[in-house]
Amino acid sequence: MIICDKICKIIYRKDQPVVLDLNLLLSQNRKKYPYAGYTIDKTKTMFIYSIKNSFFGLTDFSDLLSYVNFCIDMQPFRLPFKFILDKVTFYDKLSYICLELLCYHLITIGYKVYLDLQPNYGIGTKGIHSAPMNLLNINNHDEEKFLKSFEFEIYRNHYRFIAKAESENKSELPTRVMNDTKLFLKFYDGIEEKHVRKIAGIVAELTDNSLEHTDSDCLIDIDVSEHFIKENDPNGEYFGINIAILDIGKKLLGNGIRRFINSENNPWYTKLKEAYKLHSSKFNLLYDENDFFILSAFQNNISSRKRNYVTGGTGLTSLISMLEEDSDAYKCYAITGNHIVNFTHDTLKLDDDLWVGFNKENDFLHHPPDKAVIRRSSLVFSGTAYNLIFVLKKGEF
Amino acid sequence: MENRFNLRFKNTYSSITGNKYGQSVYRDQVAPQIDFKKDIVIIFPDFIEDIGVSFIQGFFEEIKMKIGMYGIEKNVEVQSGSIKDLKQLVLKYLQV
Repeated sequence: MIICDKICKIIYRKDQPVVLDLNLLLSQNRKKYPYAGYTIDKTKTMFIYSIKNSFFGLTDFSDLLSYVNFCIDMQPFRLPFKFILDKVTFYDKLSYICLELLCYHLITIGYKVYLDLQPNYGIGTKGIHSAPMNLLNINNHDEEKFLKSFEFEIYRNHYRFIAKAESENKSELPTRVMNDTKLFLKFYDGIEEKHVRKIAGIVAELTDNSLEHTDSDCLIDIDVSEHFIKENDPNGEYFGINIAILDIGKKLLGNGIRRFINSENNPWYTKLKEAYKLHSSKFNLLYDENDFFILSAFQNNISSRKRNYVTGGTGLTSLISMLEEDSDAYKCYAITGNHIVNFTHDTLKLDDDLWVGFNKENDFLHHPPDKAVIRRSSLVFSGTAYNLIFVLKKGEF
Repeated sequence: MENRFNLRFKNTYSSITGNKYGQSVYRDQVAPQIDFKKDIVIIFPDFIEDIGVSFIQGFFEEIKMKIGMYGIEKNVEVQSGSIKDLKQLVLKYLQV
């Protein structure tokens, strides 16, 4: 763990506050107060939210936000919150990261938060056992440690870092994340070097995109689940590399691209304009203009960076696609606002221009995305969040 | 005659990435002396094992604007003791 200590000393600087506009997340998820299962205890000294033997996904998180909003509005005194999740199965990593975000925000605005967590888990969610929010459990509650670990931690199978938008060395943060990720993953015997590099590349590129295009800090969370086997391969051993990367603020994915679509001196935006004409004739409730620009954000040489019309674009999707070839990638998606983009293996192939089809035809220019690619979320995520789960077979060296 | 640039990085990094970082390295270490009329040689130190696509895009942004992809292919050499076929990787990341 000496290398981890070295990383801690190099990277960790608690001299800037975290900039994640969690008030915005709350305010954009005000709905009718959900009555079932949520209570204030009889002594009226605590807000209690309790669910049992259930799944917890982004929709459930949206309900929880609605409840928290109601409590904050209704009760002038800052009663503590207690969240009881007994035998709950988190749908994916982002679902419990969102819960942790809420806990962090409530503490920073003056509330006490207690958790009673008895979660079930799978390969994509085993990381919950290493998550900082365990420090809010009623049995071993340590708020100060939670706040530190929320911002930065390398502990057991868990890496957490918040790349701060106001950092003096902001331009070097994606590089630090790339190096951190490589070092973190290299601890695990059996994750092949090529996968370490690809994963580190994906995490770094997403971090770079976030810091480039938003005013928010970027939260990066990686955990490794070990020693899983598959039914059809009982002798093989599998890792889950589970990644959540997010920013929270007013800027959504694809917002900045719209204004460049009439750029006449750029062949890429000319192509995008052609695609827009065709797609717009097929817009409906389930696929609209916002979805189009979100998908455009993933296309090679398309960027909302003003200067980079010559070398813009993320390169992200090619990285994801490369990794999917070597892994059982699943539950890979991005959410921005209430729009979700699913990254499914058969729709991520690149054409000759390195554009992603998002459809089985492998043709973004002439065909709208497959129905499985775009969906709506009950949760309005103010910002952009990625949930990436890669299942890799332990390499034989 | 050529311009040669031996790039400098912190030796705690074995990997580099980031669009803005690429731009700043170019601006600080290459832009003040570059002569686009001559061949250009960019040399990465041996301890750099990985270079992310966004760094390449940021670093080469101005070079591409000045001399285009054809100019990069013909007049720019990119060297590294650790990364095989780095020039091909650069061209791939800058593809139009």
